[in-house]
Amino acid sequence: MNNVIVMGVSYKTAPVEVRERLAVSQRSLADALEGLRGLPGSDEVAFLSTCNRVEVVARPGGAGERSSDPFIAEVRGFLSRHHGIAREVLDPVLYVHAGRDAVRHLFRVASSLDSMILGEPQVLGQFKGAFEAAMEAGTTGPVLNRLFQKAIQVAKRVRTETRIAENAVSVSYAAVELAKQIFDDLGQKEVLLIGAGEMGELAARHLVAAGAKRLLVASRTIERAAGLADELGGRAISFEEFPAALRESDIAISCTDAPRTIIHAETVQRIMRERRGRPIFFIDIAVPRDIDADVGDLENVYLYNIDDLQAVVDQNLDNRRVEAERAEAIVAQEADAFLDRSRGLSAVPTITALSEKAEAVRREELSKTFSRLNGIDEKGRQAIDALTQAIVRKILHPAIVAIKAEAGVSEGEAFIAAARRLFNLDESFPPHHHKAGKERESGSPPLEKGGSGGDTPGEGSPAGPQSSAPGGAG
Amino acid sequence: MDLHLFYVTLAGYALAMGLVLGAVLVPGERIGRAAFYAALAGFAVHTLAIVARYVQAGTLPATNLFEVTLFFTWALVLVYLIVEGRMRTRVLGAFVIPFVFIALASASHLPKEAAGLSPALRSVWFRFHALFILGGHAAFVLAGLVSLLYLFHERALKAKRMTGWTRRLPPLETLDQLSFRIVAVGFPLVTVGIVSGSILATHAWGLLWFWDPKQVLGFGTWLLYGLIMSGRIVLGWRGHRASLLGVTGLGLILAAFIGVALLYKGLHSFA
Repeated sequence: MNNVIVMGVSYKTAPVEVRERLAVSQRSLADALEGLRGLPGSDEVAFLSTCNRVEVVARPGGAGERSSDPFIAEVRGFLSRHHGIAREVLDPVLYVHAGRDAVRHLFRVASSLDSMILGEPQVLGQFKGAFEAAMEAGTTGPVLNRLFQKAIQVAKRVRTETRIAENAVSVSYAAVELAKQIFDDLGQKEVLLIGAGEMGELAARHLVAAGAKRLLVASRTIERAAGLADELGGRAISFEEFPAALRESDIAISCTDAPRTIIHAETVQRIMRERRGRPIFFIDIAVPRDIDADVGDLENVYLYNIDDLQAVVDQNLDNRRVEAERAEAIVAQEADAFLDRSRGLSAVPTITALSEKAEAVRREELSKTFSRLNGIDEKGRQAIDALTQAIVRKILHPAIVAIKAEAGVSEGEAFIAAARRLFNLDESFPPHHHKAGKERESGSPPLEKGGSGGDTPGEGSPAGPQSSAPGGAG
Repeated sequence: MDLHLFYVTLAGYALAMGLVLGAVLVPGERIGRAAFYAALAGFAVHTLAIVARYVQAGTLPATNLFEVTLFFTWALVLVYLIVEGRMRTRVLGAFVIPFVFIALASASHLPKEAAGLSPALRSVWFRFHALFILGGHAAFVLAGLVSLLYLFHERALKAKRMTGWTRRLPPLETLDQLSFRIVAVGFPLVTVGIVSGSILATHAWGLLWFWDPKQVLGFGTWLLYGLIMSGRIVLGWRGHRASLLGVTGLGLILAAFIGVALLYKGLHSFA
């Protein structure tokens, strides 16, 4: 794991002009992966491309414990060639993380700690997509598989154990969130959109998506209202009808270009009597404002204007920043634990586990046989014992030699992981491994996604689809 | 003596209190669920404690302030557990459980020996009276706490303050309906309690009304909740106004319970 590198650009280092050049569409992703794998010294690679970042995750291969610098230079060259960006432009904005930093960086990216909008949920989906695409292209191996799976697990943990992804961080969505704080069930609530400004439309759209029962659209130009109502699945009414419609509406979004306020406290007071005090939520997104500020002082009336909504968003972002500190602690702890575990993938413990396992099997089978063979004397027992020892030793000998030899090589980890899997040393498959081998399609799903059962099943399985993928070159 | 059960109950609620306060502060469902089960366990022992007292004394354990507190908090936790099981809002527990714990912990300083009932009160009406009055008022107290949550949440929303614990409260409308429903259950209970108390009084003393402070306050509370109920049903009161009245009722009940018990020695001095 120590030779994993992450290199790329993000919104923090590179302007959009550079990012858009490096970005790779879903369709041409396979090309890019293929190109990266073709680089000298390349072994496992994955490519993450979102609107805020483009990153290459790789584990350089090759024999010997050489530094990954030559490979990094290769990737620089490839990115410059493949995307037509001059090295003078690319090099200053390209960051490179290696070893522990690379692991931590990936965990942070998946957990949305490195996102432009802290805690936004999309990045995890994109992260998973990048992983799946690379798996499909057959460019990942046991090391990257383990790394990506763990990163996804960490991201999920961050999301359930901190409040980093809670609460709206856009003005229009903040309106929905406030509505949910006021009303019991949005499915029973009617929304009135007054005026056809873009922000109002967006808020109405969110409310409809959140399940609002009915939407009315009132606009000075009836065509605009009709068009919008059509699009959002609502009903258009004439602008003059809106005061009457307020009687039945629970959420009113106002977004007109009127120069003066159009909804006054006295009107609302009268409407509230007619509504028998049923609460009403006014969202005034217009500038200049559409609704008298005193409307918000009325009983059971809630009024938020554009600045109020922005203030809510700012507070939510502050909350997320506080939560991010806790998330960083989780990421750091997980990264350390992950690296510690990876170090366990070294030769000595694997050889010990292999020998112990073989010895256990041998003893078990011996005692079964001896209990069945009654007439056997001590000499016969010793002979059989020696015979089985010799068989086991001879079968294991080349495997042990190979593991020792691979330990110093950079693919060693991958090799040892494969060995552990071949001999079922991590107990991640059913104990009857000869059977499980035949039924592997059903016995071990390609991507174990349930994260609750500990690390082993999640980390043992990814090698499965990889090794059996058609055309997956070694 | 069944005091062991009392202290185990107290310990159970202490644990539930710690957990429920933790559940409000720390994200995730696990602590909240643990708090619920701790409260449930406390409640089970609580029930045992009451049954044991009943068996031992042979009368309903509502003869002194200690017993009444034990009984009253039991009814409160019962209503709370029903609401919590349906609503899954930990914040309500963060008010109710500490309330129950403090009430019980202060009651542990009171004389605990069951007082002998005067023969005049040994009647089935006494049991009716005590059960329904206490059960109904437990409902009022819980409804009052819910109304209090409503007012906190409303104030945060009006002040456009989105930080802190209020944002994890259920929606305003949910709190409002909940408080209404709990009062709607409590009101008939208290009504039956008052009627049976009147029958008890006429049987025992041949007198219906004797300006006992608790009687006056209790009747006043009943009128207030009658007002809340009719205001809600007939006039469509809701939200702010109804919650304000609900919290007033809570204050009145607590004043009656604590104030009279401390200051006045009369027929109801215990309850």
